[in-house]
Amino acid sequence: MEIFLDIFAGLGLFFVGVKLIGANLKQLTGKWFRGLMSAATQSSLRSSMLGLLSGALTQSSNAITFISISMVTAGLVEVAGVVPMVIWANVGTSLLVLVAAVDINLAVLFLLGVTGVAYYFDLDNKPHFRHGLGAVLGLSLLFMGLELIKHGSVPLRSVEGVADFLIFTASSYSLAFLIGVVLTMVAQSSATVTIIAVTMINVGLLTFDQTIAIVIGASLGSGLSIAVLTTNLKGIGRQIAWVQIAVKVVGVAIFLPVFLLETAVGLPGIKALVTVFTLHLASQVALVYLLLQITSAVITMLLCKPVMAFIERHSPPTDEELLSQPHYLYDEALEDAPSALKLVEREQARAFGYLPSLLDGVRADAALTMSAQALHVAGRSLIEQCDTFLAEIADQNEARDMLSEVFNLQKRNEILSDLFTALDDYVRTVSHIGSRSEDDKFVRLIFALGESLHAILDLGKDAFQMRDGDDLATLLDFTTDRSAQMDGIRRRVMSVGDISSGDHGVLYATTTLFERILWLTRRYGELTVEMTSAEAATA
Amino acid sequence: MTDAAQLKSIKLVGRLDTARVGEIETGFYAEVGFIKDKSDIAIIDLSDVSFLSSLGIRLLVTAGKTFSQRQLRFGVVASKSPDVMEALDISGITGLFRFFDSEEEARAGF
Repeated sequence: MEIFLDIFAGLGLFFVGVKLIGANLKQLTGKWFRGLMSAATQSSLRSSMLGLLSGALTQSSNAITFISISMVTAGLVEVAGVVPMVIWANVGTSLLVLVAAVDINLAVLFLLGVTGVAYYFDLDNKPHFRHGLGAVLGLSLLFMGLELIKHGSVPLRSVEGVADFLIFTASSYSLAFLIGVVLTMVAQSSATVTIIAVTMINVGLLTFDQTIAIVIGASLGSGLSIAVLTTNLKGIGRQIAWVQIAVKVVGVAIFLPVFLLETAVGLPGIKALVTVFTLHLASQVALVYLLLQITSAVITMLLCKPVMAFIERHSPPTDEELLSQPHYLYDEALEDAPSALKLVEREQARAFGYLPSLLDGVRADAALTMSAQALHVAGRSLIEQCDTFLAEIADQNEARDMLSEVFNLQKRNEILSDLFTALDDYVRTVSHIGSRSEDDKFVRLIFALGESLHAILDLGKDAFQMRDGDDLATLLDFTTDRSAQMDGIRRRVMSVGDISSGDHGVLYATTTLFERILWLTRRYGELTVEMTSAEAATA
Repeated sequence: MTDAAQLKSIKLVGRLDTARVGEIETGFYAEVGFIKDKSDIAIIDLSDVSFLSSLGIRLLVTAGKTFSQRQLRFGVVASKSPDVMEALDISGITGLFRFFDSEEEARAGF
């Protein structure tokens, strides 16, 4: 029993260690990493190097895959830019496997002691040390866990039943391969499973061949776990997931037949190759893991074009992703602030252009051409990207004129965000009247509100995109204060007396939101006129 | 209205929904384009329009903009449909354009 508890406790410490390392390094590197990612993804070599580094730091290619997916879908980086990083992150995960293969027991004990002293002196409360210390503690616990597993596993070999099982499974590579697949799908990391396997071979619980089968199985398990975790993704997000799956499949497709031929026929293969470098079994397994990752990465990089063409054909970008991609913002534009501001204004006008279509689902006379959800998410994404761009312009320029334009555009960004919220509320409110007949007078009133609102927003869309003075003036005429008019409509409908409480709520909310949307559109128009007038004065 | 002034009316009828506006807009804008003499009075007759969509409202706004750029006198004959008038009222057009109950009233009004 004690043996099993040793192993169980060791596994527990190991998993806590893995979590602590990942969580703290992510905190430590989050903002820095995102900045680095935007810069590195401009070149394939830099992107690959960042992949190696991030894989080594997080010990999880899945984590890098998901960070890449979120950054690409947010429009912060291009798919082509992150592909080398996702591919080479797998090689980065080999670092801990290589370290775990070496006996560093004394170093770990020293590290744990130092970490404990640092915690005693409350260094973990200091912002500069907190996450670094957390990561070191995680590393120490991980290796302590491995030591406990080793300690518990040595006597395990002589336990009756276990010994029989080991003899029975020693020749079963398919069972070992399957164990590698399943354990990785549970642990979500092929490096984690390989480190445990390396520990087991160190104490003689696994044979060399079994361990290699587990390592190859772990690679397939990692690919399968990504496939399972990303089933709900579409478009670009799925493209990146498929790149990672391709890396895993390529590795298994090469290493598994080579390993089987070497074992069955005796042809020199992976085992022969790693023996050249070291005779230490655990190190040999770690080298197999490293070679598997490097081979998969190199082959996938070489096949990148056809692989990406296949992936793009089978998972084209979704409407939401296409709409979220900025048309006017690009990093180089930041070098010339006046033109960068113009580009932000054009991107904002593009986002404003999504607003009329948000109403299509609840209008009397509109075919739904685009999902309101996609327009909403994409609009918000563009607003966020404009915000980031404006912050960068403000950071780099201190001229007063420039800052007043930045402030104008920042205000417009806030208004845009409020408009998306108000339109979302409007659509949700109107959808309460469902599919009631147009014979209903109340329904006809709500439809009239919708058609009018759509016409005014459409007017705004054209005015902001064309920046035409007459159109802007017309828009301001159409967006004067409507509180008295809306109040009149409310009183008139209520005076009829046969309105239900549900319709009363819908009437109150739609007329109030109508007023608000017009007011926000007017504010946006006034700010546009303000900026065009200032430009005309300085021209 | 002076003797030299000519009232030129464009009559729209039926449901001005998205599909119908798509069908008539080229012809409508061509008719708008023909009214350019400063002595002309432009009238858009909506009396027999039974439904007005967002695109229908935009049709009127664009015509109004064209007439005002040409400095023409311009008016709209109101629809007999209360729903159409409600949509025009809510959109704000009734406060910006001159509305009349009939062509005769428009003729007398200018």
